Order: sequence, then C-alpha cells, then structure tokens
Amino acid sequence: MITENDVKRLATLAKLEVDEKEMLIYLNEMQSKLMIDCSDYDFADRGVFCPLREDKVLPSMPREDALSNAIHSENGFFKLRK
Amino acid sequence: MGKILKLHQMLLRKEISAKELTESYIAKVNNENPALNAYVRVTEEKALTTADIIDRKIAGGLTLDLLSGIPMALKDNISTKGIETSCCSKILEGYVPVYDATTWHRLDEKGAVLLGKTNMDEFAMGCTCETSVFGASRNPQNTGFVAGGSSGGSATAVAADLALFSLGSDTGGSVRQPASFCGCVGLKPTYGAVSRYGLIAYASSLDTVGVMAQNVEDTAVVFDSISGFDPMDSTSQADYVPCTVDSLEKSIKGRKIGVPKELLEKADPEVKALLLKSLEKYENLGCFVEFFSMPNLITALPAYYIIACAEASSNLGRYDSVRFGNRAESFESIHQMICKTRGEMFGNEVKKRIMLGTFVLSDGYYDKYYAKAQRLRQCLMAEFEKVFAKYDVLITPTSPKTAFKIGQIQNDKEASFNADVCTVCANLAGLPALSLDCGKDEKGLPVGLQIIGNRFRESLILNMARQFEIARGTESEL
Repeated sequence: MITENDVKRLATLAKLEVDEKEMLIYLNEMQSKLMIDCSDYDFADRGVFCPLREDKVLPSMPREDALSNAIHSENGFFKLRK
Repeated sequence: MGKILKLHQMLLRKEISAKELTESYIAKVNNENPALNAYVRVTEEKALTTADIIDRKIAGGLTLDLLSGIPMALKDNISTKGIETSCCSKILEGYVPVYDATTWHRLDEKGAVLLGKTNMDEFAMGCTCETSVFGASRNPQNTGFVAGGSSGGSATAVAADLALFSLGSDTGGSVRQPASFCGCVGLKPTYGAVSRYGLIAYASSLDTVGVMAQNVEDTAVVFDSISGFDPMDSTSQADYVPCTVDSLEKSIKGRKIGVPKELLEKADPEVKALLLKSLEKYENLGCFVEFFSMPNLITALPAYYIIACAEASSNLGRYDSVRFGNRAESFESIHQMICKTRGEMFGNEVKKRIMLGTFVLSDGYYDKYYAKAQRLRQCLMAEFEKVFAKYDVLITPTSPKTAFKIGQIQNDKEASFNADVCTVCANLAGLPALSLDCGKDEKGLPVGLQIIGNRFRESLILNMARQFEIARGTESEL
C-alpha cells in the first residue's frame, strides 16, 4: 500500500508538483495492476548484451545554438536567478 | 501502383507541377483541418519553397527522387531545425530545434514537401490523442470518434488525404493503433532499423520512428528512404541495408502464419470475426495458418508499463526550464522553480507516468517491479526466437477494439490500460510490425490486422501486407 508520505517522497524525487490525493489513488491502482507473477518463468541468465557502440569525440553544437532556446543567457552561459 | 509512384511519374511527365500539388494539399489542409485537428502547425512557406526547388529541378532535367515533391507530415516530436517542435506539450511551447532528426533530414534531402507538424498525445503518452495540449485529433471516418494515439494527427492526416504519408513514433503501438483506428497502413520498424536521432525521447529502449501511408507500396518506399545506419544513433544497426519495395509482389504461397490465441481472445467479437475472415484470405493465398499459445504476451503489458514509465521518468527529467522550455512565473528557489514549472506545464497523464516511473525505480520497489519487468522482457525475446523458428510471421488484431468515442476512455480505465495489449510485445522484443485495414465494424469504423515479423524482416511483413491488400481489394469492397 502506497501512503501519502510515499507520494510526497516520490514527488520530491521526480521534482514535480502534483495533486497528492489524485496521485495516491492512481499509484495504488497501478501498483496492483503491475504485479508480475514470475513463479513459472525461467530467469536463467540469458547473456545480456549492450547494443551501444563505443563513444567517439566529435565537434559539439555551436554555443549560440545551445543557448538559443534558453529563457535567459549571458556571456555564453545559461543564466539563473540566485 | 502506389500513389507516390503515380505522382512521381506525373511530375516527371509535367502533367502536374510540385507547386500545384503542394498548393492543392495546402488548400485541403486549410479547409479540413479545423474539423479534424490533424495538424498543429502548417509549414506553408517551407512547403512552397521546397516545391519550387523541385519544379526547377524538373525543368532542368535533373534526377528526381521518388519522394521529391511529395506532400507529407511529421509528428510533433520529430525535431525540425527552425520549425517549432512542441510534443504537443505546454512545457515545450515555442521550442525551436537547432538540428534536424535524421529521418526528417533524409526526407528533406530527397525533396519531400513538409506540410506541417501533426497532433499527438503529450510526449506520446496516450492512446487517443486526447492528452494533446491542442485537443484531440478527430477520426476522419467519423469525427465523433478519436483518431487513436499517440500519433493520432499523423494517422488522421494520411487517412483524410491531407498528406501522402507521415512519420509517427511507436513506443507501445503509437503508429499501429491510430493507423488501425483511422484505416491506413502503419509500420513500426525493427528497433535499430530507423534512426531515433532527433526523436524527442519517451522510452528510449522502446521508441521507434514509424511510417504511415495510404497503401503498402507507399509505406515501403518511405521506409526504404528513412531506414539504414546512422552514426548519430548509438543503437542504430550498422549492417542493415533495407530494400523492401522489390519484395512486395513476391508470392507468399507456403508461408507459415502463427496466430497467438491469447491476443485473439482479447478482441471484441466484431474485430475477431474480421480477423478470422482475413486469415481465410491468407489461406486462399496458399499460406498455412496455425493457432498457438503464448501466455507471456499478456504479461507483456504490465512489463511494458513499468519499463516505459521508468524510462520516461528519467528522460523527462531534462525539462527543468533552464536550457529550453517554458518556466513557471513565480518561485522562491531553483528547486521550487523546477518543481512548479513541471507541475504547471506537464499535463496530468505525463505527471502520472513520471510518478509511476519514479515509483518502480525507487528504493524498495526496484526489484519488485523494474528488475522483474526487464527479466520478463528477456524471456519474451527468447520465446519469440523459438516462435519465429516455426512461423514466418504472426498475425493478431492491432487493437482489441475499434476507435473510442471522444471522451470515452477517460471514464473507462480498463479499456485505457488494455488499449495496447496487442502491440506492446513488438516494442519489448524490438520486432517490426505493421497494421493494415481489414474491414469495418457495424459503426463503419476500420479494423486493423497486425503482422509481426522477426527482427529486420520488414521486407517479409510488407510483402505479406501487400499480397493481402491485393486479395482484399479496394476500400469499396471492404
């Protein structure tokens, strides 16, 4: 059972303001729907592989492009209020 | 012959100019979009500029690609340099990408004419297009019904002939289900066959860019144009060279079709009846049809929700209003700025999925949910390997139901939860799958048939679809 405190903790982790009452009902409903009964399955190691290629260093996006969608920027940096 | 090839030949013979073709589509969009809400942004200027370039190429006798001058649309989560891309969310309102998605870049280079960006569920989270900040797209077959989702606008645009083809994204069925609801073709490629670079992420291990078109041949032409290795996508497959168009007309005699009973039983009686009728058509074409059991296909649904939401909670962490996106007006600290912005700018469905994803990854619940889901995913992939040793393709309904009425799903949590039950397995296993119209229900709404193939067997599923399309006949005969 997910409690009101759990919802508060999850909202803090997710950095999200939510309607806590609504979220409490939703998460408790989903919690039971998402239970997976694994008793019949063979979970032997199936040799997990990583599909990612090796990283290569390439030129970056121009600084002005990177800043073009920021609400505030100054001297080539993102600017935030203190 | 597909519509794209026909128009290509007309352009070459100068029976129509690219400008005339583009203008006719823009006029249609301006006329019909207010009722259908397929497009959230029309890029008229860009479209006419491209058309003009194509006409000059034709006049100069230069080589033309099949897609040159062909009017098309892009889902609003596919990045377009210099053109707003908002994922139909308030948080990305006004966001203008500084680079093109590879899929769009490839189409743009070929001279495809972008008519605009299409409607979608916010951040592709939904199955009706109703979570869009712009409101739902309407089903062109009956505007009282939804277009499906999340690529609802892309499906509506194609089915209403407001574009010759469109691109959408498919994380759990978001290309195939709206294609099924609206009555067009929808192809979700193998994971790694089409670049995800520039596709705004929902769940990265499940996301694919897919094609929607008015017939199978057009779908194949577009798929061949956008697929293939891309060094900008770290999960792109280096050794895959797609060429599906050449295989479309091959005989499918002797092909083995597997039908998983569990997904057939999930379908409404009308959907099931049409699917069985379609299987008879395949038998008449010389295919062998066999029903078999695969219980894990049902367990795939909770595993999908867990994995998709977990990845979404991580991917959507980037929306902090610092580098891009909207920001709340008042706040007292940086932490509050982020929490308040996300609380005010994300819609309810997005907030629910972020919270659910945070929950299944959180301390004490990770092993109970996320780890189990990932292991189940591995089991599913292993099972599919065995299944495809026996069958060439699988056939299922695309959706257990036909299109919902506008607003219906908000009061029907079960239907909402189960909407993707037939489609998520292909995403979890990275398989290619296609939805094709196989008839209409009593309400006159289209029913989709899903063909699932083994990894990188797009040629085969498009061949199977094309042969069905010929046997099925034209729409008037459905």
